[in-house]
Amino acid sequence: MSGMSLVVKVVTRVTAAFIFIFGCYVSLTGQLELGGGFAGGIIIAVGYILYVLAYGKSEAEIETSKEGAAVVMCLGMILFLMLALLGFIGGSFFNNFLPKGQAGEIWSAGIIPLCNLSIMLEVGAGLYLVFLNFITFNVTVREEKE
Amino acid sequence: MIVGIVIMEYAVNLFLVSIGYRWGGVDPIIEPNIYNLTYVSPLPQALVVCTIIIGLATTILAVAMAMRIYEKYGTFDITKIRKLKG
Amino acid sequence: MNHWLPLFIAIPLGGAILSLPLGKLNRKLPPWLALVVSLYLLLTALLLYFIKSPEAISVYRIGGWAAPLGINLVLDGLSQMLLLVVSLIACLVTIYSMVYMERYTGKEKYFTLYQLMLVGMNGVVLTGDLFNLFVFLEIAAISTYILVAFGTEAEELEAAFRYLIIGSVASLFILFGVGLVFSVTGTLNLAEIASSFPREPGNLRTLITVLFLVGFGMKAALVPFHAWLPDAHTAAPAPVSATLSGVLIKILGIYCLIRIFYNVLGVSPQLLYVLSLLGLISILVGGGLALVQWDFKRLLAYSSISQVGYILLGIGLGTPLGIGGGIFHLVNHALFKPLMFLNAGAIETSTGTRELKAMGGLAKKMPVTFITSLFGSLSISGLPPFNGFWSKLFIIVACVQAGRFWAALIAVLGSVLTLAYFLKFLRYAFFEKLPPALEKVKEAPGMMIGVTVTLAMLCLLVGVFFPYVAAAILNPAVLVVLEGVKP
Repeated sequence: MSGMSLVVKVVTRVTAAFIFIFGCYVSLTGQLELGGGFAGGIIIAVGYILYVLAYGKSEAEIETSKEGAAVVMCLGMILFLMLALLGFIGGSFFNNFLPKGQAGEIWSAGIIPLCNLSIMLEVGAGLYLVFLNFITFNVTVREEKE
Repeated sequence: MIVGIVIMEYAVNLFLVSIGYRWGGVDPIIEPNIYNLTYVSPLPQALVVCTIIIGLATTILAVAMAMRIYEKYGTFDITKIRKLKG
Repeated sequence: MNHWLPLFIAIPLGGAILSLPLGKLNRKLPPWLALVVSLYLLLTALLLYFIKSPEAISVYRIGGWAAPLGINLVLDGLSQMLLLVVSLIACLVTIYSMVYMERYTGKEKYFTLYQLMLVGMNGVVLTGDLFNLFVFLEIAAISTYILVAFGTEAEELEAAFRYLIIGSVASLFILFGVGLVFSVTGTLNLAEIASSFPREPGNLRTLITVLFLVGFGMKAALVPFHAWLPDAHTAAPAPVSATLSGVLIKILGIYCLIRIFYNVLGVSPQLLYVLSLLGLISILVGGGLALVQWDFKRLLAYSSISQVGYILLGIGLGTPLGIGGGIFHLVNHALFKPLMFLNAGAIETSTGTRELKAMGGLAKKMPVTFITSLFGSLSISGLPPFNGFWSKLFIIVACVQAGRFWAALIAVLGSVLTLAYFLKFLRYAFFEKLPPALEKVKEAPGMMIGVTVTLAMLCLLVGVFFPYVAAAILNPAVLVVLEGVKP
């Protein structure tokens, strides 16, 4: 599938990295500012989707991306479950067992930043995977109907 | 039909967030040196985040199913998609 | 021991997540993982009965946060009984699916989705927090929407889409009700809502009651919200239909209704009357429509609507015997409806068709399926000494005791209708002559038969040994419901 015009490509080259970093920022400062894992993950996924829309990918590249996204998504979920089960160390399920720093710092509030990180991985990769599946599905439908 | 469900969903989410409103409240972020502020309750906001995600998943699923239905039936007209009877 | 409670939710979740990469490594691994997970669930659910007396209530605070800040997992008699029922059916259906799902591509995704559904159901049963209930409800419901469409044929997709739309609307009603309850009481913990919800009737209370009734009624397929059930159960793969019909509509619909109305909001006589009225209508409509079906999975689906009506009638009576009968019928239906659906799947696998007119004389070719179907049919119709007899007897006697003779009459009529359509099923499927197209039909594979035989045996045993069953499992559940709103 083809990409878009040259202007879009140049602008994407500049902004995609910023979108990625902004997504990480929103996700990791979930306990201080608004946002958290979900919002950050969606922003990151949008960055990737923007790249695919602007530049266009061929079939084989999309397949490889799907595999990578699936791996990252599973990783995120397993990490989250590990964190929840490890809470048993602190006494009960999902306990906040890492040291809590001062309010207002990034590395405070125990396992919450790590939870946000894993959710960011999962939501971002998951949404990207869904988008890739939607694109490739459209292609097969149109070919069958032709 | 999918858009209708999405609109209904946004309505309920908006309702949930508005439950947490307190008169004269500010957004529920604690600044380092300012005390004694009335905060808007953050609990419904947390609920609504979850609900929006659930709604997103349902919408994605509905759209994916609608795409496949189009592939099989050739139409989006719901009155024509009636293979199951009774 | 309390620490086991969150594991009911965490272990299937781990199984669901791990099935994805494992499926990519080796296609044969995910079914075994699912089997291990479901066996674990069954064993712990059984052990709970031996370790802890069901009358005691255990509360587990997630993350160590006490209510109202944290989410509690509550295990009382009703939850414990339902955990056992869910684990039992899940284990048996997983064994059955290991053979049945060979026909479908994407088998590993099926087990992921199935375990996600288990996560949702266990979560609904165990949670003590209202919003958490909604989240787990959605998890189970969404995985079911996908499971119904698993074969991606035209019929399945249409049925799944219809189910999805109606289920989403139901969830929105429930969410709206949750929001209203939250705005009235300011807390989401079920026990705290029970103590702080205003008792006097009023417009707001009526609105909340109606919202919850409609929302959960749609999930439980009560008439007039039953439109999605026949399509979804007919088009879904057999083990999915079995789990949906036998367990899911009852947990998501009936259990949530009982929890919200009996233990949290408090019942009023008008509400009970409405519930029993809906139950009566469901019995008649389900039974009547089942008589005219020629597709036997559709017949079984309408039978489910009818039986859920019985459960609701029993619960809507409000007397101890009525509630006991209703809950017993819930357990019984969870035993014999999956049995019938799994048999239907076996017949469909062997003969390749679902039309009753195209079948006949299978009694010689598939003897085990015939006998287990016979057991199941007699159980549902309520003949002694099967388990269905006792639960229907309780419900009818409770109707008479409560002075509602019309209800008892309709319940008996429903029983006769049930017998009628199951005899129709048996006659057309198993007796009559064998059509020439079906000469080469063989009995179903070994594991599938093993599961159906187990379920049939359970029907018989629960019926025969029912006093022990009642004392150990049912009475605590009934007591929980009768306690009503806890202070």
